[in-house]
Amino acid sequence: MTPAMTSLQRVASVLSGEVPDRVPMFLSTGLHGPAMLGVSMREYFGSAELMAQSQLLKRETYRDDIVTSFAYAAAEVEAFGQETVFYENGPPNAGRPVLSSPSDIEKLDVPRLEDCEALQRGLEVTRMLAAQAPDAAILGIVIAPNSLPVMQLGFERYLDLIYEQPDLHARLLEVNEEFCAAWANAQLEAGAHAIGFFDPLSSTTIMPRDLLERTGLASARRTFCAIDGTVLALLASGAVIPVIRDFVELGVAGVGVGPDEDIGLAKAAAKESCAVIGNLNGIEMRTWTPEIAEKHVKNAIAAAGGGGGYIVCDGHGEIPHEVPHDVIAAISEAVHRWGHYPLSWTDLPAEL
Amino acid sequence: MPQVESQTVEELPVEELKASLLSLDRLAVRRTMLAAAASSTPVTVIDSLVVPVLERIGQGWQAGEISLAEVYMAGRLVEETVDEVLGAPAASARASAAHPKIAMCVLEDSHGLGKRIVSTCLRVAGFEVLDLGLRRTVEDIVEEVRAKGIEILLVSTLMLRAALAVGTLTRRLAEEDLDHVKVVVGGAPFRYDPNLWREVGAHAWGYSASEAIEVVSAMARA
Repeated sequence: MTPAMTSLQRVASVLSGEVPDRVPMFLSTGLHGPAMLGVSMREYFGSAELMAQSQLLKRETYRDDIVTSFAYAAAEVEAFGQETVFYENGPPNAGRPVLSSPSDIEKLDVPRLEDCEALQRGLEVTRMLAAQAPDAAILGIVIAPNSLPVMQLGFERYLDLIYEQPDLHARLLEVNEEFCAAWANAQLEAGAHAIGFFDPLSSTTIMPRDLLERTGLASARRTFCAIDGTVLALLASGAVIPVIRDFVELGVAGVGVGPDEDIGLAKAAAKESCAVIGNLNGIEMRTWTPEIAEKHVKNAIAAAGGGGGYIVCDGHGEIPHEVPHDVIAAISEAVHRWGHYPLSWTDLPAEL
Repeated sequence: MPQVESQTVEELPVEELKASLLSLDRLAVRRTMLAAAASSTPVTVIDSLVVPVLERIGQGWQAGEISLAEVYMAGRLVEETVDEVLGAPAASARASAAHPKIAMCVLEDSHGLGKRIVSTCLRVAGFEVLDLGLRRTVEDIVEEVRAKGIEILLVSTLMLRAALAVGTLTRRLAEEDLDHVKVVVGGAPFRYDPNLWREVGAHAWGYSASEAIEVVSAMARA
C-alpha cells in the first residue's frame, strides 16, 4: 500500500498526474454549514468565522480532503452592486440583475475587491483555513467571465447579447475577465491552493461548439493567462467531454464531470492530461440510502480511479442541504474503504 | 374560405426548417414558412411543420446534440416568423377549439430561461399561455390560479429548493379546492431525479419544451 499522505499531498499528487495513496474526495457541503452550527443561512453567510468553522467541522466529521472558502455564487455580483436574496431552505440567489439593459455595459467598471464585504469575508475564510487546516487542500472559486453575466443580466438577455451585440458582449467579458483574475489571485494569495473556475456556459449543453470557441473558451484562455496558480474547470453539470481537450490545452489541472456523463469516458477523454472530478448525482443523493451511496462511490472509483487522476465529488459542485448526514458519511466511508491504491479490487468480479 | 390541402405531412420540409432555424438563417426560415403557408392552412403548417421541428429540436437537446442557446434562439426565430407569415399569433388559428386556460411561472427566483423557451414553443404550437412571471411565491400563484381560472399550470425550476416548493404549491392548491388544476413541472432537478415530479405532487413533467407540448396537448384533449 502507498504510504499515507496528507490531504494536501493527496490532492496535489492527483492534480500533477501522479498516483496518490488514496482517491481524494471533495464533499461540497457548504449548505449544510448553518444546520451543523445551529445558525440561520443569513447569519452563517455573514460570518467568516462560522464558514471557516463549518469547513473544519466537515473535514473532521467526514475526513474530507478539500475545504473551500466558497460561500455562494451571487457574492461576486454583490461586488458589482447587485443584491442577494437569502432563503432559509436553500442557497442564496442573485437578486434582480444589476445591468438593467445591455447599454449599462458601456459604463461598467471593474469593481475593487476591497469594496465588497462578501469577497473580503471569502478571503478571511481562506486565511483561517490556511492557518487552521494546513494539511488540507484549499479550493477557491471564481465564476467565469462568460458565466457571470447570467446573474448580471439574466440568462435570456445574455444570450440575446451574445448573438446580437457582440461589441457589448466583448466589453462585458473584458470587465469580467479583469475582475475574475483579480479575485482568483487574491484567493491564491490568501492561501488557496487551486481555483475552481465555475463555468456552466462553457459547455456544449448550453452553447454550440463554434460559438463556445469564440466566446467562453477564448475568454477562459485570456483569463487563465492572468491567474497565477492551478485552475480546475467546473462546468456545473454541463457536458464536459466534448470540450475536455480544449480545457486541457488551456492548462487546467482538472475538470468537473456532471451526473449526465460517464465518468470513465471523461477520464479516457482527458487522456491522463488532467484529473476528472465528479460525478455523483447530488439531486438524487437526497433519496439515497448509505448502501446506495457506497455502490455509487465504488462504481465511480472503478470507472475513473485507476492510475490516479480522479477526485470523488458530486457532479455539480454543491451538495443540496437536504442530503442527510448518513449518506454523506457513507460516501466518505466508501472512499476510505474502496479508494486506497492500488485498486486491486477493481480486477475482481463485482460484489455489488 | 378554407384552403385546399395540397401537401401531405411528409412533404412539408421539416428538416430544412430545422436546419435554417439552427443556423439562424432568417430569410430561409421565412421562405420555407411562406412556401408551406401558400399551400396549407395555418393549423396544418403548425401541426405538420412547426411542431415537428420543435419536437426534433427538443429531441436533439435531450440527446445532447443541440445546445440550450440554439433551442432558445430557434424558439425566438420561429415565434417571430409564425406571427409574421401566418398573419396572427398561432394561438388564434385554434381559437375555435375550447382549450383549457394555461399559465406558466417561476417560483421564487429569477431563472426564467426555461419558462421563456417552453411558453414560446407552446405558443407557436397553438396554445395561449398566460405568463405569471418570475419570483412568485406559492401564495401568489394559488391566488392567481383561482382568480384567473387556470386549469393547467406549468412551473419551471432550476434550483432544487424551487422544485421542492412545488410540493407546497400542490398541497396548497388541494387545500383551496383547486386540486383539479393540472400541475406540470420541468427543469434540471426533475431531470436529475426522475421520481421528484411525483414526490412534489405534479401531474406530469417534461424534459424539454417539445415534451411540454406533448403533455399539454394530451391534457387539452382529455
